[in-house]
Amino acid sequence: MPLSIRQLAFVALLLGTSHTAWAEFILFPELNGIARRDIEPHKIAIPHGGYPLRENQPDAALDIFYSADYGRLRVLAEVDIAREVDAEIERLQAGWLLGSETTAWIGRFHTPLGYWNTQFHHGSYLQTSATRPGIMEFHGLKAPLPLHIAGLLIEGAHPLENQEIHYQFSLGVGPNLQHHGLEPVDFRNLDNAGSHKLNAAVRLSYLPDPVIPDEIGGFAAYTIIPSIHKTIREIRQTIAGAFGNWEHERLRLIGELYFVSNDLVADSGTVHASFVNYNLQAEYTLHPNWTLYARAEDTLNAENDPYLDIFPEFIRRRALAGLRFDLTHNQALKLEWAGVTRQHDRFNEIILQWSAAFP
Amino acid sequence: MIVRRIFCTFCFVYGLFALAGHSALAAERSLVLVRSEQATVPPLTEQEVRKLFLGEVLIKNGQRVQALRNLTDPFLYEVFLQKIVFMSARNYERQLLSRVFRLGGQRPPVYEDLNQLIAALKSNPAAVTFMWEDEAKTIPGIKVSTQLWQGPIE
Repeated sequence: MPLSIRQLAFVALLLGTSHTAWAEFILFPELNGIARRDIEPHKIAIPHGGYPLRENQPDAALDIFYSADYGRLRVLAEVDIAREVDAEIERLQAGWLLGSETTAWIGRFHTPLGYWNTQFHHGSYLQTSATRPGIMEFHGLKAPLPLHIAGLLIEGAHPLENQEIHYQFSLGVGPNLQHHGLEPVDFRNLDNAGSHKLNAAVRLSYLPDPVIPDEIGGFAAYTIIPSIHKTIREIRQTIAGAFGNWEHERLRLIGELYFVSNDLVADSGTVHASFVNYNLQAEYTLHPNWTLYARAEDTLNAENDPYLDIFPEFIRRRALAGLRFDLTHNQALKLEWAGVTRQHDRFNEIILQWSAAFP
Repeated sequence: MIVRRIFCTFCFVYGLFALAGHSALAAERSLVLVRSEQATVPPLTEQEVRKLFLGEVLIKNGQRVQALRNLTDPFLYEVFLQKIVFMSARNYERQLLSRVFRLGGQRPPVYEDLNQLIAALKSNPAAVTFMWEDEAKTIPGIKVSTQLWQGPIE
Protein backbone atom coordinates (compact mmCIF):
# COMPACT_ATOMS: atom_id res chain seq x y z
CA MET A 1 0.00 0.00 0.00
CA PRO A 2 1.51 3.38 -0.99
CA LEU A 3 2.41 5.69 1.83
CA SER A 4 0.24 8.73 2.33
CA ILE A 5 1.62 12.26 2.60
CA ARG A 6 1.09 12.10 6.35
CA GLN A 7 2.99 8.83 6.67
CA LEU A 8 5.84 10.24 4.58
CA ALA A 9 5.90 13.32 6.81
CA PHE A 10 6.07 11.06 9.85
CA VAL A 11 8.99 9.05 8.43
CA ALA A 12 10.76 12.29 7.44
CA LEU A 13 10.31 13.59 10.96
CA LEU A 14 11.90 10.45 12.41
CA LEU A 15 14.79 10.48 9.95
CA GLY A 16 15.34 14.19 10.40
CA THR A 17 15.59 13.96 14.13
CA SER A 18 17.60 10.72 14.10
CA HIS A 19 20.68 12.73 13.10
CA THR A 20 20.79 14.42 16.48
CA ALA A 21 22.98 12.96 19.21
CA TRP A 22 19.97 12.80 21.50
CA ALA A 23 18.00 9.90 20.08
CA GLU A 24 16.75 6.58 21.40
CA PHE A 25 15.40 3.63 19.45
CA ILE A 26 14.18 0.65 21.49
CA LEU A 27 12.42 -2.55 20.45
CA PHE A 28 10.15 -4.36 22.91
CA PRO A 29 9.39 -7.80 21.43
CA GLU A 30 7.28 -10.42 23.18
CA LEU A 31 6.21 -14.00 22.48
CA ASN A 32 3.33 -15.62 24.32
CA GLY A 33 2.09 -19.16 24.58
CA ILE A 34 -1.39 -19.26 26.11
CA ALA A 35 -3.28 -22.40 27.19
CA ARG A 36 -6.91 -22.04 28.32
CA ARG A 37 -8.91 -24.71 30.06
CA ASP A 38 -12.30 -25.09 31.80
CA ILE A 39 -13.95 -22.61 29.47
CA GLU A 40 -17.53 -21.88 30.58
CA PRO A 41 -19.77 -21.68 28.64
CA HIS A 42 -18.15 -23.72 25.89
CA LYS A 43 -19.93 -22.13 22.98
CA ILE A 44 -19.44 -18.43 23.13
CA ALA A 45 -20.98 -16.15 20.57
CA ILE A 46 -18.23 -14.34 18.73
CA PRO A 47 -19.00 -10.67 18.99
CA HIS A 48 -18.83 -8.50 15.91
CA GLY A 49 -15.20 -7.64 15.36
CA GLY A 50 -14.05 -10.07 18.03
CA TYR A 51 -12.07 -13.29 17.88
CA PRO A 52 -13.03 -16.76 19.07
CA LEU A 53 -11.56 -17.84 22.36
CA ARG A 54 -9.07 -20.61 21.63
CA GLU A 55 -7.77 -23.27 23.98
CA ASN A 56 -4.20 -22.94 22.77
CA GLN A 57 -3.01 -19.67 21.36
CA PRO A 58 0.47 -18.56 20.35
CA ASP A 59 0.87 -14.82 20.18
CA ALA A 60 3.55 -12.32 19.27
CA ALA A 61 3.92 -8.57 19.43
CA LEU A 62 6.56 -5.95 18.78
CA ASP A 63 6.53 -2.47 20.22
CA ILE A 64 8.83 0.02 18.51
CA PHE A 65 9.76 3.06 20.56
CA TYR A 66 11.56 6.10 19.29
CA SER A 67 12.43 9.36 20.99
CA ALA A 68 14.69 12.19 19.91
CA ASP A 69 15.55 15.60 21.30
CA TYR A 70 16.45 18.52 19.11
CA GLY A 71 17.33 21.29 21.50
CA ARG A 72 14.22 21.73 23.59
CA LEU A 73 12.01 19.98 21.06
CA ARG A 74 11.26 16.37 21.97
CA VAL A 75 9.70 13.88 19.57
CA LEU A 76 8.28 10.58 20.73
CA ALA A 77 6.78 7.82 18.61
CA GLU A 78 5.59 4.35 19.51
CA VAL A 79 4.25 1.79 17.07
CA ASP A 80 2.76 -1.50 18.17
CA ILE A 81 2.62 -4.47 15.84
CA ALA A 82 0.54 -7.34 17.17
CA ARG A 83 -0.99 -10.45 15.72
CA GLU A 84 -4.68 -10.07 14.85
CA VAL A 85 -4.47 -6.31 15.29
CA ASP A 86 -3.34 -3.82 12.66
CA ALA A 87 -0.05 -2.07 13.31
CA GLU A 88 -1.02 0.97 15.29
CA ILE A 89 0.68 4.25 16.03
CA GLU A 90 0.20 4.18 19.79
CA ARG A 91 1.89 7.47 20.52
CA LEU A 92 3.04 10.26 18.24
CA GLN A 93 3.94 13.32 20.24
CA ALA A 94 5.95 16.48 19.84
CA GLY A 95 6.88 18.22 23.06
CA TRP A 96 8.55 21.42 24.11
CA LEU A 97 10.73 21.25 27.23
CA LEU A 98 9.57 24.34 29.11
CA GLY A 99 12.14 23.74 31.84
CA SER A 100 13.80 20.95 33.79
CA GLU A 101 10.46 19.82 35.16
CA THR A 102 7.77 20.64 32.59
CA THR A 103 6.95 19.50 29.07
CA ALA A 104 4.08 20.60 26.84
CA TRP A 105 3.08 17.95 24.31
CA ILE A 106 0.79 17.85 21.31
CA GLY A 107 -0.15 14.70 19.44
CA ARG A 108 -1.54 11.33 20.43
CA PHE A 109 -0.52 10.09 23.85
CA HIS A 110 -1.50 7.85 26.75
CA THR A 111 -4.43 9.18 28.75
CA PRO A 112 -3.07 10.17 32.16
CA LEU A 113 -5.02 7.55 34.10
CA GLY A 114 -3.88 5.31 36.94
CA TYR A 115 -0.48 3.68 37.25
CA TRP A 116 -0.32 0.91 34.65
CA ASN A 117 -1.34 3.08 31.73
CA THR A 118 1.36 5.65 32.30
CA GLN A 119 4.16 3.37 33.54
CA PHE A 120 4.17 0.27 31.35
CA HIS A 121 1.65 0.31 28.56
CA HIS A 122 2.96 -1.82 25.66
CA GLY A 123 6.39 -2.43 27.11
CA SER A 124 5.66 -5.88 28.55
CA TYR A 125 9.28 -6.31 29.57
CA LEU A 126 8.98 -3.29 31.89
CA GLN A 127 6.16 -4.80 33.93
CA THR A 128 6.84 -7.75 36.20
CA SER A 129 3.73 -9.69 35.14
CA ALA A 130 2.90 -11.11 31.73
CA THR A 131 -0.54 -9.48 31.64
CA ARG A 132 -1.91 -6.13 32.69
CA PRO A 133 -5.18 -5.52 34.59
CA GLY A 134 -8.33 -6.00 32.48
CA ILE A 135 -9.43 -2.39 33.03
CA MET A 136 -6.15 -1.29 31.42
CA GLU A 137 -6.49 -3.34 28.22
CA PHE A 138 -6.09 -1.11 25.21
CA HIS A 139 -7.59 -2.79 22.16
CA GLY A 140 -10.91 -4.10 20.94
CA LEU A 141 -13.85 -5.49 22.86
CA LYS A 142 -11.85 -6.05 26.04
CA ALA A 143 -10.91 -2.39 26.56
CA PRO A 144 -13.64 -0.23 28.13
CA LEU A 145 -11.64 2.92 28.91
CA PRO A 146 -10.18 5.57 26.58
CA LEU A 147 -6.46 4.97 27.04
CA HIS A 148 -5.23 7.00 24.05
CA ILE A 149 -6.24 10.54 23.31
CA ALA A 150 -5.12 13.22 20.87
CA GLY A 151 -4.62 16.83 21.83
CA LEU A 152 -2.56 18.78 24.34
CA LEU A 153 -0.76 17.35 27.38
CA ILE A 154 1.12 19.32 30.01
CA GLU A 155 3.19 17.22 32.38
CA GLY A 156 5.72 18.13 34.98
CA ALA A 157 6.84 18.09 38.58
CA HIS A 158 6.73 20.56 41.42
CA PRO A 159 9.61 20.04 43.87
CA LEU A 160 8.93 20.18 47.61
CA GLU A 161 12.36 20.05 49.27
CA ASN A 162 13.24 16.36 48.81
CA GLN A 163 9.78 15.33 47.61
CA GLU A 164 7.83 16.03 44.46
CA ILE A 165 4.29 16.50 43.20
CA HIS A 166 3.85 15.24 39.65
CA TYR A 167 1.03 16.54 37.48
CA GLN A 168 -0.44 15.80 34.09
CA PHE A 169 -3.27 17.76 32.47
CA SER A 170 -4.64 16.79 29.09
CA LEU A 171 -7.27 18.25 26.82
CA GLY A 172 -8.16 16.75 23.48
CA VAL A 173 -10.42 14.33 21.70
CA GLY A 174 -11.11 10.81 22.88
CA PRO A 175 -12.19 7.69 21.03
CA ASN A 176 -15.46 6.89 19.35
CA LEU A 177 -17.35 3.65 19.81
CA GLN A 178 -17.25 1.33 16.80
CA HIS A 179 -18.56 -2.22 16.54
CA HIS A 180 -15.07 -3.53 17.39
CA GLY A 181 -14.64 -1.33 20.46
CA LEU A 182 -13.28 2.11 21.28
CA GLU A 183 -11.36 3.65 18.41
CA PRO A 184 -8.99 6.51 19.25
CA VAL A 185 -7.89 9.09 16.69
CA ASP A 186 -5.91 7.22 14.03
CA PHE A 187 -3.25 9.42 12.43
CA ARG A 188 -2.95 7.03 9.49
CA ASN A 189 -6.57 7.44 8.55
CA LEU A 190 -7.73 10.88 9.60
CA ASP A 191 -10.10 11.26 6.66
CA ASN A 192 -12.21 8.31 7.82
CA ALA A 193 -11.66 8.76 11.52
CA GLY A 194 -15.32 9.49 12.22
CA SER A 195 -16.51 11.78 14.92
CA HIS A 196 -14.38 12.37 18.03
CA LYS A 197 -15.32 14.54 20.97
CA LEU A 198 -13.94 16.03 24.14
CA ASN A 199 -11.64 14.26 26.56
CA ALA A 200 -10.18 16.06 29.54
CA ALA A 201 -8.04 14.34 32.16
CA VAL A 202 -5.91 15.20 35.16
CA ARG A 203 -3.49 13.05 37.16
CA LEU A 204 -1.71 14.17 40.33
CA SER A 205 0.77 12.15 42.37
CA TYR A 206 3.06 12.54 45.35
CA LEU A 207 6.57 11.08 45.37
CA PRO A 208 8.30 10.97 48.76
CA ASP A 209 11.63 10.77 46.90
CA PRO A 210 11.67 11.72 43.20
CA VAL A 211 14.40 9.24 42.30
CA ILE A 212 12.71 6.16 43.71
CA PRO A 213 9.52 4.72 42.23
CA ASP A 214 7.25 5.08 45.29
CA GLU A 215 4.21 7.06 44.26
CA ILE A 216 0.65 7.70 45.40
CA GLY A 217 -1.95 9.73 43.56
CA GLY A 218 -5.34 10.30 42.04
CA PHE A 219 -6.84 11.01 38.66
CA ALA A 220 -10.07 12.07 36.94
CA ALA A 221 -11.26 12.18 33.35
CA TYR A 222 -14.34 13.16 31.39
CA THR A 223 -14.97 11.89 27.87
CA ILE A 224 -17.78 12.19 25.40
CA ILE A 225 -17.71 9.06 23.25
CA PRO A 226 -19.74 9.27 20.01
CA SER A 227 -21.16 5.90 18.96
CA ILE A 228 -21.99 4.27 15.67
CA HIS A 229 -24.23 1.73 17.45
CA LYS A 230 -27.85 2.09 16.42
CA THR A 231 -29.14 2.13 19.98
CA ILE A 232 -26.61 4.56 21.48
CA ARG A 233 -25.89 8.05 20.19
CA GLU A 234 -23.08 8.86 22.58
CA ILE A 235 -21.67 7.96 25.98
CA ARG A 236 -20.73 10.57 28.56
CA GLN A 237 -18.13 8.95 30.73
CA THR A 238 -16.67 10.18 34.00
CA ILE A 239 -13.71 8.39 35.60
CA ALA A 240 -12.16 9.05 38.98
CA GLY A 241 -9.69 6.99 40.94
CA ALA A 242 -6.56 6.52 42.96
CA PHE A 243 -3.36 4.52 42.62
CA GLY A 244 -0.17 3.75 44.45
CA ASN A 245 3.19 2.03 44.02
CA TRP A 246 5.24 1.17 47.08
CA GLU A 247 8.54 -0.67 47.27
CA HIS A 248 10.36 -1.79 50.36
CA GLU A 249 13.42 -3.99 50.07
CA ARG A 250 12.18 -7.16 48.29
CA LEU A 251 8.48 -6.28 48.33
CA ARG A 252 6.52 -4.19 45.84
CA LEU A 253 2.81 -3.34 45.86
CA ILE A 254 0.90 -1.72 43.00
CA GLY A 255 -2.77 -0.84 43.39
CA GLU A 256 -5.43 1.01 41.44
CA LEU A 257 -9.05 1.95 42.10
CA TYR A 258 -11.46 3.17 39.40
CA PHE A 259 -14.96 4.66 39.68
CA VAL A 260 -16.51 4.78 36.22
CA SER A 261 -19.85 6.43 35.55
CA ASN A 262 -21.52 6.27 32.14
CA ASP A 263 -24.54 8.02 30.67
CA LEU A 264 -25.61 6.17 27.57
CA VAL A 265 -27.51 8.70 25.48
CA ALA A 266 -30.03 7.36 22.98
CA ASP A 267 -32.83 9.01 21.03
CA SER A 268 -35.28 7.42 23.44
CA GLY A 269 -33.56 8.76 26.56
CA THR A 270 -30.49 8.36 28.75
CA VAL A 271 -29.49 5.29 30.74
CA HIS A 272 -27.12 5.73 33.66
CA ALA A 273 -24.75 2.99 34.81
CA SER A 274 -21.63 2.89 36.92
CA PHE A 275 -19.10 0.36 38.15
CA VAL A 276 -16.09 0.17 40.42
CA ASN A 277 -12.90 -1.67 39.50
CA TYR A 278 -9.80 -2.36 41.54
CA ASN A 279 -6.57 -4.26 41.14
CA LEU A 280 -3.75 -5.03 43.57
CA GLN A 281 -0.46 -6.65 42.60
CA ALA A 282 2.15 -7.86 45.06
CA GLU A 283 5.69 -8.74 43.98
CA TYR A 284 8.43 -10.38 45.98
CA THR A 285 12.02 -10.63 44.77
CA LEU A 286 13.27 -14.07 45.77
CA HIS A 287 16.64 -13.49 44.14
CA PRO A 288 17.83 -10.66 41.85
CA ASN A 289 16.76 -12.80 38.86
CA TRP A 290 13.59 -14.36 40.29
CA THR A 291 10.41 -12.48 41.19
CA LEU A 292 7.24 -14.04 42.51
CA TYR A 293 4.02 -12.10 41.97
CA ALA A 294 0.27 -12.28 42.41
CA ARG A 295 -2.59 -10.02 41.42
CA ALA A 296 -6.26 -9.74 42.28
CA GLU A 297 -8.64 -7.64 40.23
CA ASP A 298 -12.40 -7.31 40.44
CA THR A 299 -15.27 -5.18 39.21
CA LEU A 300 -18.31 -4.32 41.29
CA ASN A 301 -21.69 -3.75 39.55
CA ALA A 302 -20.34 -5.27 36.34
CA GLU A 303 -23.12 -7.78 35.75
CA ASN A 304 -25.73 -6.51 33.32
CA ASP A 305 -23.98 -3.16 33.15
CA PRO A 306 -25.21 -1.74 29.80
CA TYR A 307 -21.83 -0.10 29.10
CA LEU A 308 -19.65 -3.11 29.99
CA ASP A 309 -21.98 -5.36 27.98
CA ILE A 310 -20.63 -3.58 24.90
CA PHE A 311 -17.23 -5.10 25.77
CA PRO A 312 -17.85 -8.85 26.15
CA GLU A 313 -14.11 -9.61 26.28
CA PHE A 314 -13.55 -7.30 29.24
CA ILE A 315 -11.88 -9.20 32.10
CA ARG A 316 -13.88 -8.12 35.10
CA ARG A 317 -12.39 -10.50 37.63
CA ARG A 318 -9.04 -12.27 37.74
CA ALA A 319 -6.83 -13.91 40.31
CA LEU A 320 -3.34 -14.71 39.12
CA ALA A 321 0.01 -15.87 40.35
CA GLY A 322 3.26 -15.89 38.44
CA LEU A 323 7.00 -16.16 38.39
CA ARG A 324 9.40 -13.94 36.46
CA PHE A 325 12.92 -14.99 35.62
CA ASP A 326 15.30 -12.36 34.24
CA LEU A 327 17.36 -14.30 31.72
CA THR A 328 19.75 -11.41 31.06
CA HIS A 329 19.80 -7.70 31.84
CA ASN A 330 17.23 -7.11 29.05
CA GLN A 331 15.28 -10.36 28.62
CA ALA A 332 12.71 -12.00 30.87
CA LEU A 333 10.68 -15.20 30.99
CA LYS A 334 7.34 -15.15 32.82
CA LEU A 335 5.05 -17.99 33.75
CA GLU A 336 1.59 -16.98 34.90
CA TRP A 337 -1.52 -18.86 35.98
CA ALA A 338 -4.88 -17.07 36.15
CA GLY A 339 -8.53 -17.70 36.85
CA VAL A 340 -10.37 -15.29 34.54
CA THR A 341 -13.98 -14.07 34.49
CA ARG A 342 -15.09 -12.00 31.55
CA GLN A 343 -18.49 -10.38 31.01
CA HIS A 344 -20.15 -13.61 29.80
CA ASP A 345 -17.67 -16.44 30.31
CA ARG A 346 -14.86 -17.68 32.48
CA PHE A 347 -11.79 -19.91 32.14
CA ASN A 348 -8.38 -20.75 33.58
CA GLU A 349 -5.28 -19.88 31.64
CA ILE A 350 -1.55 -20.41 31.76
CA ILE A 351 0.73 -17.98 29.95
CA LEU A 352 4.39 -18.44 29.16
CA GLN A 353 5.91 -15.19 27.95
CA TRP A 354 9.31 -14.14 26.70
CA SER A 355 9.84 -10.38 26.56
CA ALA A 356 12.82 -8.14 26.01
CA ALA A 357 14.07 -4.62 25.44
CA PHE A 358 16.70 -4.08 22.73
CA PRO A 359 19.18 -2.49 22.99
CA MET B 1 68.43 -15.52 72.11
CA ILE B 2 69.24 -15.07 68.45
CA VAL B 3 66.18 -17.05 67.53
CA ARG B 4 64.10 -14.79 69.75
CA ARG B 5 65.55 -11.64 68.09
CA ILE B 6 64.92 -13.02 64.64
CA PHE B 7 61.38 -13.89 65.66
CA CYS B 8 60.76 -10.38 67.07
CA THR B 9 62.25 -8.74 63.97
CA PHE B 10 60.06 -10.93 61.80
CA CYS B 11 56.96 -9.99 63.81
CA PHE B 12 57.82 -6.27 63.57
CA VAL B 13 58.42 -6.39 59.82
CA TYR B 14 55.29 -8.49 59.30
CA GLY B 15 53.28 -6.00 61.35
CA LEU B 16 54.56 -3.11 59.26
CA PHE B 17 53.66 -4.89 56.04
CA ALA B 18 50.28 -5.83 57.42
CA LEU B 19 49.59 -2.22 58.43
CA ALA B 20 50.76 -0.92 55.08
CA GLY B 21 48.67 -3.53 53.33
CA HIS B 22 45.60 -2.66 55.38
CA SER B 23 45.94 1.06 54.74
CA ALA B 24 46.36 0.37 51.03
CA LEU B 25 43.21 -1.77 50.98
CA ALA B 26 41.19 0.80 52.90
CA ALA B 27 42.51 3.82 50.98
CA GLU B 28 40.27 6.86 50.86
CA ARG B 29 39.04 7.71 47.43
CA SER B 30 36.95 10.55 46.19
CA LEU B 31 34.29 10.34 43.48
CA VAL B 32 33.74 13.59 41.61
CA LEU B 33 31.59 15.04 38.87
CA VAL B 34 33.74 16.45 36.08
CA ARG B 35 33.23 18.67 33.03
CA SER B 36 35.44 20.19 30.38
CA GLU B 37 37.48 23.29 31.28
CA GLN B 38 35.49 25.36 28.80
CA ALA B 39 32.15 24.22 30.21
CA THR B 40 29.81 26.66 31.92
CA VAL B 41 27.74 24.08 33.79
CA PRO B 42 27.42 25.23 37.41
CA PRO B 43 28.01 22.77 40.26
CA LEU B 44 25.09 20.35 40.67
CA THR B 45 23.49 19.08 43.84
CA GLU B 46 23.54 15.36 44.59
CA GLN B 47 19.79 15.21 43.91
CA GLU B 48 20.28 16.88 40.52
CA VAL B 49 23.03 14.42 39.66
CA ARG B 50 20.80 11.48 40.56
CA LYS B 51 17.92 12.77 38.45
CA LEU B 52 20.23 13.62 35.56
CA PHE B 53 21.71 10.12 35.49
CA LEU B 54 18.20 8.68 35.71
CA GLY B 55 17.49 10.25 32.33
CA GLU B 56 15.59 13.32 33.48
CA VAL B 57 15.96 16.72 31.86
CA LEU B 58 18.15 19.22 33.68
CA ILE B 59 18.43 22.75 32.36
CA LYS B 60 21.03 25.02 33.99
CA ASN B 61 21.78 28.61 32.94
CA GLY B 62 19.57 28.02 29.92
CA GLN B 63 21.54 25.02 28.67
CA ARG B 64 20.62 21.36 28.90
CA VAL B 65 23.09 19.31 30.89
CA GLN B 66 24.03 15.94 29.39
CA ALA B 67 25.12 12.99 31.51
CA LEU B 68 27.76 10.62 30.16
CA ARG B 69 28.09 7.22 31.82
CA ASN B 70 31.67 6.30 32.64
CA LEU B 71 32.05 2.52 32.32
CA THR B 72 35.80 2.60 31.77
CA ASP B 73 36.21 1.18 35.28
CA PRO B 74 33.48 -1.27 36.39
CA PHE B 75 34.38 -0.74 40.05
CA LEU B 76 33.96 3.03 39.71
CA TYR B 77 30.56 2.49 38.06
CA GLU B 78 29.49 0.17 40.87
CA VAL B 79 30.52 2.70 43.52
CA PHE B 80 28.67 5.45 41.64
CA LEU B 81 25.47 3.38 41.51
CA GLN B 82 25.73 2.33 45.17
CA LYS B 83 26.74 5.66 46.72
CA ILE B 84 25.02 8.19 44.46
CA VAL B 85 22.09 6.53 42.68
CA PHE B 86 21.41 4.03 45.52
CA MET B 87 20.44 1.24 43.11
CA SER B 88 21.82 -2.01 41.81
CA ALA B 89 22.94 -2.01 38.18
CA ARG B 90 19.89 -4.08 37.20
CA ASN B 91 17.44 -1.76 38.96
CA TYR B 92 19.15 1.29 37.54
CA GLU B 93 18.89 -0.03 33.96
CA ARG B 94 15.20 -0.84 34.42
CA GLN B 95 14.48 2.53 35.98
CA LEU B 96 16.23 4.29 33.12
CA LEU B 97 14.36 2.29 30.52
CA SER B 98 11.05 2.84 32.27
CA ARG B 99 11.53 6.61 32.54
CA VAL B 100 12.60 7.00 28.92
CA PHE B 101 9.67 4.86 27.76
CA ARG B 102 7.25 6.97 29.79
CA LEU B 103 8.58 10.48 29.28
CA GLY B 104 10.73 10.26 26.15
CA GLY B 105 14.32 11.44 26.08
CA GLN B 106 17.38 9.24 26.13
CA ARG B 107 19.38 7.05 28.46
CA PRO B 108 22.76 8.69 29.20
CA PRO B 109 25.27 7.35 26.65
CA VAL B 110 27.77 4.76 27.85
CA TYR B 111 31.55 5.07 27.35
CA GLU B 112 33.86 2.14 27.94
CA ASP B 113 36.90 3.85 26.44
CA LEU B 114 38.47 6.69 28.45
CA ASN B 115 39.78 8.57 25.40
CA GLN B 116 36.32 8.56 23.82
CA LEU B 117 34.76 9.70 27.08
CA ILE B 118 37.20 12.61 27.41
CA ALA B 119 36.66 13.56 23.76
CA ALA B 120 32.86 13.55 24.28
CA LEU B 121 33.25 15.63 27.43
CA LYS B 122 35.43 18.20 25.69
CA SER B 123 33.21 18.41 22.62
CA ASN B 124 30.06 19.24 24.61
CA PRO B 125 30.30 22.15 27.06
CA ALA B 126 27.10 20.96 28.77
CA ALA B 127 28.32 17.39 29.36
CA VAL B 128 29.29 15.94 32.73
CA THR B 129 30.53 12.57 33.91
CA PHE B 130 31.88 10.98 37.09
CA MET B 131 35.45 9.89 37.86
CA TRP B 132 37.88 9.23 40.67
CA GLU B 133 39.26 12.58 41.73
CA ASP B 134 42.91 11.48 41.55
CA GLU B 135 42.37 10.25 38.00
CA ALA B 136 40.50 13.41 36.94
CA LYS B 137 43.38 15.60 38.14
CA THR B 138 45.78 13.86 35.75
CA ILE B 139 43.64 14.49 32.66
CA PRO B 140 44.29 17.81 30.93
CA GLY B 141 41.30 19.85 29.75
CA ILE B 142 38.79 18.66 32.33
CA LYS B 143 37.79 20.15 35.64
CA VAL B 144 36.25 18.85 38.84
CA SER B 145 32.76 20.30 39.23
CA THR B 146 31.42 18.70 42.40
CA GLN B 147 32.62 16.14 44.91
CA LEU B 148 29.97 13.42 44.99
CA TRP B 149 31.34 11.02 47.59
CA GLN B 150 34.45 10.32 49.63
CA GLY B 151 35.24 7.25 51.67
CA PRO B 152 37.35 4.16 52.18
CA ILE B 153 37.55 1.67 49.37
CA GLU B 154 38.07 -1.92 50.37
